[in-house]
Amino acid sequence: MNNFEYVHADGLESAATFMAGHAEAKFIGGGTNLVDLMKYNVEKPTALVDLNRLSLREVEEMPDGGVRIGALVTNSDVAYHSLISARYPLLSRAILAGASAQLRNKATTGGNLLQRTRCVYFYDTAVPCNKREPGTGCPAKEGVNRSLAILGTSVACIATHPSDMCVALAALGATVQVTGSKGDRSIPFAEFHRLPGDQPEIDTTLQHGEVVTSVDLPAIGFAGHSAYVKVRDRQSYAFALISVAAGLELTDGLITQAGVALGGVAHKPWRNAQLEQELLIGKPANRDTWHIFQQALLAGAHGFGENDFKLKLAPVTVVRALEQAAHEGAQA
Amino acid sequence: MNTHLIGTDVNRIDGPAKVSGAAKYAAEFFAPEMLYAVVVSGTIAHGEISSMDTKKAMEVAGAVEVFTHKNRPHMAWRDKSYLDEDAPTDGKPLRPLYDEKILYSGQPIALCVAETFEAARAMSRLIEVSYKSLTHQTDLAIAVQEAKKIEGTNRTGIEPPPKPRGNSARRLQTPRSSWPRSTTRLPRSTTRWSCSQPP
Repeated sequence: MNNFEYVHADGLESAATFMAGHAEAKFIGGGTNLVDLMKYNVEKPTALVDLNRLSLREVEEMPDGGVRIGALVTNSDVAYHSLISARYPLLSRAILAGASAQLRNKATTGGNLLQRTRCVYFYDTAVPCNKREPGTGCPAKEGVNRSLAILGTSVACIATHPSDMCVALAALGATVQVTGSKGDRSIPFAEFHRLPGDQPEIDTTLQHGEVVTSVDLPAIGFAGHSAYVKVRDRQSYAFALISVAAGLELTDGLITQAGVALGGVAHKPWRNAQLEQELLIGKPANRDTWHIFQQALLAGAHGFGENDFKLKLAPVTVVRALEQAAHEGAQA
Repeated sequence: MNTHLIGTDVNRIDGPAKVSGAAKYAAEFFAPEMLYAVVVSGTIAHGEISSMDTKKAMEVAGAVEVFTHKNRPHMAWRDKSYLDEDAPTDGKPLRPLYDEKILYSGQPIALCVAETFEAARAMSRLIEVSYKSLTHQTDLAIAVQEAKKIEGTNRTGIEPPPKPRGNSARRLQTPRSSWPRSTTRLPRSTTRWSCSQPP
C-alpha cells in the first residue's frame, strides 16, 4: 500500500478546508470499499479524511413528512430502523439484499452511494480500464462482461453501479444533501450518479471536497405496495445481475404514484420518471400495464456477449417486481 | 459405541473464538525475524521478459530482495527431484522464475521479499517489466489443429502403448454380415477385450 496521510475531520468546515488543499485526498466512512481498492492499488489517495467523528448518525423525521438519514448511519441501522422498516420497507429490503451482515454493520449511507464498480477490469491493475486509467481502453466489451451494463453504456465504459441501496433510493426519489467549500447543495437522486460517456472515471456529480451529509426520503414511501427483486448467481453475498425496486400507490386498482428503478443494468440506478408518468400513472395495476411499461423502459438495451441474457432477464424481473409490489407478496 | 452425541446440539469448541474474531488465521502466526513475500505475476499470456528493473522496488524501506529468473537460487534440474507424495507422476513440475519465457497469463515472474507484508506489496508494484509478446491461442478447438506429436517419449518404467494393427475404418465400411467370424471360443479367463482385434 502507498503511504498516505490520515486525519480525523472534527467539523465539516475543516474537512472542506483540508480537501481544498489536497487534490488527491479522499473521505473515508466505513471503508468497506475504499480500503479494498487501496489494497488492490486501484485507489491511491495521498490522504484519508476520516469522517467518523462527525455527528451525522441520526435518522429523523422532517417537517415535510419525509425522513432524513445521516450520512454516517450504517446500512444495518438504516435497514432495521423502525421509521425505515415501517414507512420505507423497500429501502430496508434492498439494503438487506446486499453484502453481508458484517459489511452492512460497517458501511455508511454516504459511502454506499460512493462505492465503485466491481468490474473485474477496474480491479485488475495489469489490464487497461478507462475508469481506472482514462484513455487506456475497455477490454470488458469483448471480454468478461457477464455482470456488466446493457443500458446507458458508452464506447469508453460498460461498468455497472454495484449498490442495492441506491436502486431503492432511486425508486423512492430521494434527495442527497451535500456540503462543501462553496456551500450546501441538494442533489435529486437521479442526478447524483452519472452515465459513463467519455469520462467514465467520474461516477457522480459530487465535486472534489464535497461531503454527503444526508440522504432525504420523500413523504411517500410506498409502504403499502413495494418489492425489491434481486436476481443473482447465489442467494446471498452476490451482486445483482438484475435487480428491480418497485413502489406503487394504488387507489381502486389504479396507480396513483409509482417509482421503478433497476440495478445491475447501468452505470447508475436506471429509472425513467417520465415513462412512469405516461405509462403507469392512472393505469390499472395489471400485467398488461407492466409489459407496456417494461418495453418502453428497456428500449435500446443491448448486450456485449456474456451479458446478453440480461436482455431477457430484465423485462421479466421488472414485471415480477411490479406484480409483487401490486400484490405486496412475499420477498424474492 | 458411544452414541450419546447423536441428536444432541453440541457447541463448537472454537465457536466463540471464531465469531468474536479471536481465532487466528494461519497467516496470523508470526515467527521472530520472519520475512514476507509477495509474488509479481506476468501480464502477458505468451512471450518473454526482455527486461526487468527492480531498482525502485529495492528502494522501499524494509526491502530485502527481489528474486527473478536472473538471480534466483539454484533449482534442481531433474523432474524427479520435484516428486513428492502429491505430485502428479506425469508432466513437468512448475519451476518458478525458471527463465525469461512466459508460458501463461499470470505466470510468477518475481518474488519481492521484505521485513513487512506492506513493504513487500509496495515493492511488487514498483517492478518495471518489458516483454516481447508472442501471439496466444485460448481456443482449444483451434489450438488442436496445431498440435504436434511429441517425439522421443521413451520414459523408463512406463510400458509404451501397443502398435496399431488392422484397419477398422475399412472394416466398418463393409456390411456387418460379411465380417469374418471368430472360430475360436475364448475361454472366460483370457482377456476378453482383446476380441476387438481382428480374429
